[in-house]
Amino acid sequence: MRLKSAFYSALFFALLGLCGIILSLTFRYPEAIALPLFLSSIIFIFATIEVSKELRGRDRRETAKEEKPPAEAESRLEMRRFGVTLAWGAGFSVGVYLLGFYLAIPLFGFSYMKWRGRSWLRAAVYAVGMLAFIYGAFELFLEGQLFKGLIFGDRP
Amino acid sequence: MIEAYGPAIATLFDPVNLLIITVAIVFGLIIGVIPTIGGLVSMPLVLVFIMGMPAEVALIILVGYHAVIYTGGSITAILLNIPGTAPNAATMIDGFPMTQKGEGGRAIGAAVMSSMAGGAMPVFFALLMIPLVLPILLSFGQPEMAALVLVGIAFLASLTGESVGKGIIGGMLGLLLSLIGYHQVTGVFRFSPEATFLYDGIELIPLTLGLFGIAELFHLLMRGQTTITQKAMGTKFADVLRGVKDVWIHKWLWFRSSLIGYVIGIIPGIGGDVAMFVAYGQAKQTSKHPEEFGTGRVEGVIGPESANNAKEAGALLTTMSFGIPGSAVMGMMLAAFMMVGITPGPSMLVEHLPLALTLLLGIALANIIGGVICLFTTPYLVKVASLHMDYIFTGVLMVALAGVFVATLSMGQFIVAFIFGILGLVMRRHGYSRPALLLGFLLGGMLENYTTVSYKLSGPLFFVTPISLGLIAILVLVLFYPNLSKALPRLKRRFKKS
Repeated sequence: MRLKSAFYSALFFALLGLCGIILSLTFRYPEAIALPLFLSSIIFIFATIEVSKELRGRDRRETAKEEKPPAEAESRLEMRRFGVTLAWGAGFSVGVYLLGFYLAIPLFGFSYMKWRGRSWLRAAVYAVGMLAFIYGAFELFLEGQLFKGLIFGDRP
Repeated sequence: MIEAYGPAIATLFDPVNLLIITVAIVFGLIIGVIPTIGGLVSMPLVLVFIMGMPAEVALIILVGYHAVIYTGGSITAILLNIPGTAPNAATMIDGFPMTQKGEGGRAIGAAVMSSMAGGAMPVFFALLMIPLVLPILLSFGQPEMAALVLVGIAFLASLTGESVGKGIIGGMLGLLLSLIGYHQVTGVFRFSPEATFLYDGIELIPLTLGLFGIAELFHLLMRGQTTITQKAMGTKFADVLRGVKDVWIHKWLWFRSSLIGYVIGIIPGIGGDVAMFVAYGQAKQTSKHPEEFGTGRVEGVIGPESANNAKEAGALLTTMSFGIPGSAVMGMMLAAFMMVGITPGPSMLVEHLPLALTLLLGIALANIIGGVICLFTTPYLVKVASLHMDYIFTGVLMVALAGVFVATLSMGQFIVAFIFGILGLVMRRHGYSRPALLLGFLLGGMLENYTTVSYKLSGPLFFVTPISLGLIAILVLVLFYPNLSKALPRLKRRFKKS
């Protein structure tokens, strides 16, 4: 399983290098082309070598030394955890985009803590505490301005 | 050179700066005690807070903060058998057995004292080295700098990736990412056709926060890490003092280990783990009771802890004088230098010598202040270690994304941070070098400028200078050393047979 995902990651970098080569060639001037083309080519070459290594399973022994390949069930569990974490992160981002930081922070802090089985009081105190900390740190200390949210008329 | 010490000391001992460094130290100790967070997750967050500060204040904060993280990390390694930061792992081997024997306080005293003294003393080695390094640095021109950038990336790539190839992919990707946006020489927008928020290129803060902070959170949560269940052990101050005395008794071990840490710190890309385990190994080799190591010998704590903090002065000297960071955290330090308008490299020790001295002396001061604070607050610091992952995840995510917005004023950079979070996770899990990517990103613009100017001044053979050729030889050696080291014994065997 690990070998499979390692193959896909190498393939991803090879494709990234290939895209870099194709896009570099579309730039108008040689000065703008030279370095991106050179760097993309190196990425493509090294990533292709990694892809071929993974296909031949040559470095299986080396990777086994570093970390034992997780069992399939464990790997699936890890992917589920990743999906859940990403969903919470994305949810918070969408919340910030629509409602702004001042509503999204307590909402996210409170709902995550409740989801994790914390008491109402603890979740509420944590949410308000984080809001106070971020307001103090960014608005008062750094004199920055946090996004107020699309719904409240702020532009991204 | 001597006259630069005046302003350096004046800046460092300015009452406001002293207060700031003390606050940074306290935060560094607290963060160091929380297992799994360490410098890698927290440094990008600190970068957000130093935006807009005067250069010397911003860098003093970072130096003070970073210098004591490992001191805090040793406490959980000793009491809970969990290293606060990765390099504290060697301390656990004898530190935790000491706790089990009821000598936790003594082990902490020894760790804190050796960290404090070990972190302060090598600063003076570094200060002595500056006059020796300066003439070498002054001989660097544009072509040499271009070669130096590539050597730096190759060093970091070969030592921090699972293989040289994977390291190089990381480094080159970083260089490529730095080219996104408006190209000043030709006016072309590269790799940013539709996304207007990318016209000025990718911002440093979302990249760093995503690649290290968010990726690290994803990784920890994927592993299902939730909390540290062990109960923190009580420590008495008298035991802590006994550990302090142990360092005096084993002063030569402390001196040797500090020297080892300093030398390893100078070499780019080797990292803290190596320094600590080498120091632990020599402590065992030189001990009268090597067979008792692993069962709770105080020398097994003094050796690695001295080396751990000692490496920082060496790593900072290399970062400042050559622009080559020795580790991911030093890479972030390099990023901080650039954020405040200072480009580390040969010109830094010439143009900003007082600042360089301030920072080196700052490490010594931070270690001393941090050590004293640590000695008195150990029982309270330990309580921080039991912080649940839920608070770490939500807290870091909220602060990181608020930081991204305040730093860039663009919601588009949110997406960038998340994309780099996922990219960082993929790179971490499959052994691609993230420090090399960061270094490539930081030095990409410089590399393009140096090569363009050198090409215009000297033509296509601009790299044919003695120093450049020497650096290119080092580059080739770094890249092909793993293959060479495997091929040479085979060739020898064949030669013997024939």
